[in-house]
Amino acid sequence: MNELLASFVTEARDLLAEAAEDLLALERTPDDEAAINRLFRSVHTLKGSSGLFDVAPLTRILHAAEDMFQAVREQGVALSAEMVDVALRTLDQTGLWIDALERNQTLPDTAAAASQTLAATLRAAFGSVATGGAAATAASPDTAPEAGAAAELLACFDATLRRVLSRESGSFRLITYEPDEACFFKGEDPLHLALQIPGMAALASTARSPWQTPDALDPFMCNLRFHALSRAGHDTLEALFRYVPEQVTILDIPAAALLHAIPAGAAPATPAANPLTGELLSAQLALLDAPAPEAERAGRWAAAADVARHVLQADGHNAAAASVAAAHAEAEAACLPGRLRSAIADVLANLAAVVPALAAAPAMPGRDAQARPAAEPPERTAPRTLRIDQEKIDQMMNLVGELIVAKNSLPFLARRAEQQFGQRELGREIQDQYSVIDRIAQELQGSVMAVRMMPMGQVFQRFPRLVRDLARKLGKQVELVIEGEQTEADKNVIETLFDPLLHMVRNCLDHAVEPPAERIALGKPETAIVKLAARQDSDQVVIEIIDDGRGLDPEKLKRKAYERGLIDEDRMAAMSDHEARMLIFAAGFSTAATISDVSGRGVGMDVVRNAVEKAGGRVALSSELGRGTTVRLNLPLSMAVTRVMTVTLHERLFGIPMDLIRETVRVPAADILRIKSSEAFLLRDRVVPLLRLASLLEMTEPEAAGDDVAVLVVRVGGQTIGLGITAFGEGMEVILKPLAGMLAALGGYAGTALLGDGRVLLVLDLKELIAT
Amino acid sequence: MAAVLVLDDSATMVMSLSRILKNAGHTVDTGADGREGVAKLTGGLKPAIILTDLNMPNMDGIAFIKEARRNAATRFTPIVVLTTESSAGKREEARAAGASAWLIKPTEPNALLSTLKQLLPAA
Repeated sequence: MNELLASFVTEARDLLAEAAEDLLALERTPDDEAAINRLFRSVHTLKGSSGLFDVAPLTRILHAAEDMFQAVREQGVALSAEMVDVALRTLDQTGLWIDALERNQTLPDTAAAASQTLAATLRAAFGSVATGGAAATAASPDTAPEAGAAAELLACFDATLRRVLSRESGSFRLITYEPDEACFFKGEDPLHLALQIPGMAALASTARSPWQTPDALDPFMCNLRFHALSRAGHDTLEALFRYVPEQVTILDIPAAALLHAIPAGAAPATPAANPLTGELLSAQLALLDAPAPEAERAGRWAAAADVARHVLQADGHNAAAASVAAAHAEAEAACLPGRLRSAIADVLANLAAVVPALAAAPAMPGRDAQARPAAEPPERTAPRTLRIDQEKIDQMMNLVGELIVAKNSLPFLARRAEQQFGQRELGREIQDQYSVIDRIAQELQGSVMAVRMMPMGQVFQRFPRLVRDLARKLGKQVELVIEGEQTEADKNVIETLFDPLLHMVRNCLDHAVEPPAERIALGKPETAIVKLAARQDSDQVVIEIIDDGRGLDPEKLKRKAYERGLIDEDRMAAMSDHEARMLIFAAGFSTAATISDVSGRGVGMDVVRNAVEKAGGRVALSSELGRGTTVRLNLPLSMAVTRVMTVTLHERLFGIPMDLIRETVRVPAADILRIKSSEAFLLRDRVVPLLRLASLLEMTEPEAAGDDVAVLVVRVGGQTIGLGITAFGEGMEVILKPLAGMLAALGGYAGTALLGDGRVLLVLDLKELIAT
Repeated sequence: MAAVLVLDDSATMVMSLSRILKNAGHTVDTGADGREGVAKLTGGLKPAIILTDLNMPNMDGIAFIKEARRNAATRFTPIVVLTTESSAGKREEARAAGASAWLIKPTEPNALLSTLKQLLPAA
């Protein structure tokens, strides 16, 4: 893709995100001056840049949105919910078109029509005098030409037009082109553009407002309106005016209807000629006829044409003035002074009749080609930040992973040198070198990880819009509070988070938050508060979704679970309130009585839990009936590299994720307590249950009867548990690969990792092992 | 051939303007807002002409022009306002602050270059 367009796509996305954020902020706090200023600037900048490309529909809706925000900013127009809705739709539409631009380098075919509708809606929403909108409607090809309107427009052409029309059949396009007042500052040349109208049969111009006296006249304001009749089709004409579509109306008129529209004999109203006008025009003819040196010729034509034009305009003969201008342009292009002379002479001879330019203006080198960015290699501008393709970083991360695995083979090599080849010294040197490489590898890993870190804001920023739309749909009032959007986490973690969060927020709005009337009856504030908060806690990111809604009712949850056959009667009776609340995470559980299209789509909170746990995180929940619910997600900062501890079990090696391990202890066999069929031991005056990992894994080997037992103290699901193993191994960093293929269905394993000596390490999923 | 300083908060716009200017043989320095522009000037940059946007974060074009006019080195440097704004009030404000010319973007390369030519002292 062209680098300029690529830059625009990136810039547009940034600006759109900012604009959406400010728009929502503004809806909450309408007098937030900083927000409206930022919002206006975002849209303004975006509109400005869009003008560099051939994306008129995009520019048009941004322009309308800009006008809306301008009205809010400067004219104190109140920002209504409807205005926000249509503004958000505009941002969405822009986003979609930006996507299309990125994919195809062009807007979809439907863009022009969609743009007209949307721009009109925007303008209607803030009550703008929708000149653009009205023009847009008239421009649609299926509009029936109204004889009355046409007649009015045709009044600017003169009697000669009847002659032309009487020889023609077929249909004409009546074009009204009203250039922007400030067009001269935009580098536009309205006359030049009008002269380029293909298949032109007549061209005339009128003043939009009465001409001012010379001293009050602002010569830099365009006060002209062009009228043209063309035989060319709609598409050709729209293509010509594609940069100024809102300034142009195009009507279809059959030649017969045209003739009909101009009452026979009704000569166009032509003001009586001022004698001075005739005098001045004659002087110009004399000037043109006088011999002139080659070098001065062009200047003379221009001077004569200008004077003639101005005189005619001042006297109210706008059509005549335009035809002189047209003749001058033609004369210049074709190097035929006669054209200009005869035009002025004609005007002079009959101030009421102007010969229309019968031939289409010669095709001139398109100025459009210049406006479009050139295709040559673009210049580099100094970037403020470096944007890197995600794939490149992923590739780097994979290489770092491989480096870490490769470096892990050095200790094995050192041991072999020592034990197998008796090279103690060499073994030690290898070990020393290993420490150096280890340190560098870890720093490298740290740097790459830092590059992959993204702020939580990336995920959170999508929620204000979502919550707003949902709340409106559900008829609830919700204020979303976001905290800790600067908290950083690995890109993978961030990406994993969006769907679970989305699901939980939907659930929260749908089920937890009460309708306003109910909240008032309960004595709660009408507007519910939903909070999304993130913070870093050692090597974890903690994300909380807090609401002040209904809270979870343990009794109701238990009954539902029982009805659904998830638990039996005994279990229901024995269940603690906390356990009952955790039922919402059970598979096949959904508390909504009816499945709504908001949150209930057959997936429950179990999907959330699974997604979070798959990412190495866990879900906790606390809730108070009538007061609200807090769901807490703990996720590792990074998922790329996992620290595990290896343990030996009957000469087999397993890995246990390091973040679960609290400590390692050796418990004398005599100190093991037996409580019924279970075992436990005392750890600093606390009774800790002791589970034998071998029996959890259903290994059949008999327990070795040693003096003491190696125990790994782990924390799983909020519980401290001792795991009896045969021997401790070492801590190491591994790249954890999930079990794939036929093994994917095996429970109890978090994945596999490749060891430095080529063996495959099975890493256990203790949560699953202990729960079953 | 002249040294041009271009200020615009849109990287796309900066890229496009730089390209036009460099193709015409000018050297180009850029900044994303008025503050960066002032930093460039106080850092010793002596552009022969300055192009600036009006709507920019941190320091807008009007404030930048005023600042540049206070600086002895750029007191008489031509400053062209390049904006999508077309209100007469803004134009007057920019003129009062010391802007030399006013162009509406996107400009045609030729309109931009001929404006520069008019404003630059004859080589």
